[in-house]
Amino acid sequence: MRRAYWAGLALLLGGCALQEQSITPIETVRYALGDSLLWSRPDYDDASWQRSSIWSLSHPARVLWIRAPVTLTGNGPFAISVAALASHELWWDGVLIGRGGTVGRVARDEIPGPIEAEHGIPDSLARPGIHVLALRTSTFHQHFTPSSDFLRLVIGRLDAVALHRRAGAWFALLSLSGILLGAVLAFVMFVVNRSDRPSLLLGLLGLTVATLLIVEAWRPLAGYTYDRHIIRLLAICTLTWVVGAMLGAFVTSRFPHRRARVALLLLLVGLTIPWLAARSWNDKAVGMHLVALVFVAVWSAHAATARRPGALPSLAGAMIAMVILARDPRGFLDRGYFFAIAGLLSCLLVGHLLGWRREIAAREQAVARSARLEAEMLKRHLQPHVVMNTLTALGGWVEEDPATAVRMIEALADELRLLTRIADQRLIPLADELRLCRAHLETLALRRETQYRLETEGVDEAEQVPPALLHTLVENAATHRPSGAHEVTMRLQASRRDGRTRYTFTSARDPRVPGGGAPGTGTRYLIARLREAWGDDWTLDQEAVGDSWRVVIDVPGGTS
Amino acid sequence: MRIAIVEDEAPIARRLERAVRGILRDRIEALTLVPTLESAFELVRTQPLDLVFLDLNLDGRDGFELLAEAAASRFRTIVVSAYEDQALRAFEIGVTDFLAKPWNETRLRTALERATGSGDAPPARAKRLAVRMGTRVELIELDHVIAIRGADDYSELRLADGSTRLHEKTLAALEQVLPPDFMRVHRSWIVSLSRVRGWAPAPGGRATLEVGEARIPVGRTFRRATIERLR
Repeated sequence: MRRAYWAGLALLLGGCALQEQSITPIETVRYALGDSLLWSRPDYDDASWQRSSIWSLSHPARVLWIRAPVTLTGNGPFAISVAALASHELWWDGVLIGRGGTVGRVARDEIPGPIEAEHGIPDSLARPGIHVLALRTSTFHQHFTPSSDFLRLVIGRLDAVALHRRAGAWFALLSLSGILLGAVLAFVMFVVNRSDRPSLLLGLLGLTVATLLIVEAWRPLAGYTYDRHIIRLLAICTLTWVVGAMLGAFVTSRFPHRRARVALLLLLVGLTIPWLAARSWNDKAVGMHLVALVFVAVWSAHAATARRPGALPSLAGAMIAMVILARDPRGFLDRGYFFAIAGLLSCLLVGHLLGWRREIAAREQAVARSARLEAEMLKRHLQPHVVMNTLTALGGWVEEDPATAVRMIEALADELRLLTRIADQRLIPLADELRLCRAHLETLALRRETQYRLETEGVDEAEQVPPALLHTLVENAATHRPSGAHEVTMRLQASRRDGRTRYTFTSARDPRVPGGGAPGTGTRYLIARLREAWGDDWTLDQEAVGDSWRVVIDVPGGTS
Repeated sequence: MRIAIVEDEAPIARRLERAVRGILRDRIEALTLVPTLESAFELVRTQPLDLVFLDLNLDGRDGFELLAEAAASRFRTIVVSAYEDQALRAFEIGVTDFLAKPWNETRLRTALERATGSGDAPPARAKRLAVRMGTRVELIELDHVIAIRGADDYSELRLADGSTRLHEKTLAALEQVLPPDFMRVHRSWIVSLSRVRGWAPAPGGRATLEVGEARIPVGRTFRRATIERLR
């Protein structure tokens, strides 16, 4: 046991070198349909039998005998590993040394044997020299016809054969632990931020891959009778398809694009094609893996050209996996896949963490920016010169007409109340914003004895806008009204198309005030608020059109 | 006294008008309210004025240009603004006083006394003098001014490079805004004391100052104070 442990560790560290030196796969055999116990004898002349590579041997639903000469060198104990989609009897120099299930000449006589079996060669029969191995098989319970690869025979020292059988499981389990750890990390990230869909997808992807690895490892680890092999193959292909789809879902969610849905649909079709078209189960799964890897590579490359954080690690992971697949497509599922998928998921996780770190920094900046914007908004309205001018005008009205003074106080109070209520919001209903603007214009009208009108057209007052967005435009328009104008009209128009709303604000302008140039405090505030609310998904254009000033803001939201 | 109030917020302008009328009463010859920058420019260039109350921020536009124009004019200027941080800039260019909004009657009375010459002089902080040159206004650093000569209802600035500029303000009005380094040494002369290279007695209890290449007379009544400052 201790020896096996160290051997296992050495195998993990040193790859397959040790294993390849200590075991010998039987690659060429002779075979014949029919049944005779004479065929087990070492002196039976099988020269008339068909000769074949063991990989391409196929097995009709009858009794099939396979014979091969085997040369033993060195000291035992020796063993033979039989991996077969068949019940079998193993004869060694004419002696029955093991069986898997019961071989039957008809289906009802056959009892399905294990898909993996090891048979020790008695020391008395294991002298150095040439021996004859004969295998009697029947396959009435396959439920499908494997195109090839129904049988593998390996002979070697007992411990090396046992290790060889579990080698696939070692690779799978080694990958499994890392993948589960990554999945847990992704789920924790999702729990921290419930709107982080890529983290959830990455966690689910990790779990699906882990399930696939367990199903892959099930055969060498636990074993089962060969008649159940079809269930495992179906499970592997289904899980491979799901893993491919989830890889696509993850990268499209991680690096969003407007054509992501179409691309995902194409990926699903692409994943289905090898399943339906490939003959062998191995080719089906490898084909699906290849389609998924190409998708991830292309999508990540596109994201990398747009300098999206985390795109390069994703691209690198997919490329490495494709190189592993290209080097050994046949053995990919048994060996390379475990390294490829573990490497790919690690790269995806690293890329995701890089993006996550940047998002956290951006979120912290956004919080700081929000606080700054809130302070800036209040400061703009409570600036000493605004307050002092208002108080001076109020003093004038108190002397001239106390009733107007009271109206002015009420409008001012209404404006300040609204301001303090909305200052810390990211978005507010347009109704509140319009109320704020009208309260502001009421105060201004009493200060300047000018009529201000704010007209709206096509506006949905339930729609959300950043606080003081319109207010800033209104304030700017009122400040830069044509000199001496006693009536100022402003207009807010809204139009909706393709899930976006376009606000057009127009006002009369003082032609002596030049437009354009560096953005003023008001414009900088607008930009900061729009960025806080919608990232980069907005546009702001302003221009002088004749005697008017026009500001066009395009933002997400609204229905056509 | 001919007064103009340049203010774009009508209730404020009317309030200031009431307060000024209440203080100056029948000393007011004319009082005009001007709501825009353009009409203010027009007024100060065409109408004879003694005092202008000037809001520096009209229709969101900086009134500094008008401020320089006003400071170059013969009338006195009291800036009325809620931008208290502009007070320094206003004083540096030589306005008579700065009245922060909202003002009270006591503070307005002090400003009016300064403007009419009947009260204490405001802290003199001018660093530059605004001089009208044709249609534009030139700002001259006081460091370059060596002496100022009064001539009827205007003044002549003598500069260090030997050139001269005419200022529309009287010598008395300029004396009110100049810093302590500038001293009245004669009925018609103010000199920059830091520019005086020497002095010599002159007949009749008078004296003569060497200021740059020029000889500036010192009046009999100013002689003692001048020589004390120079010592």
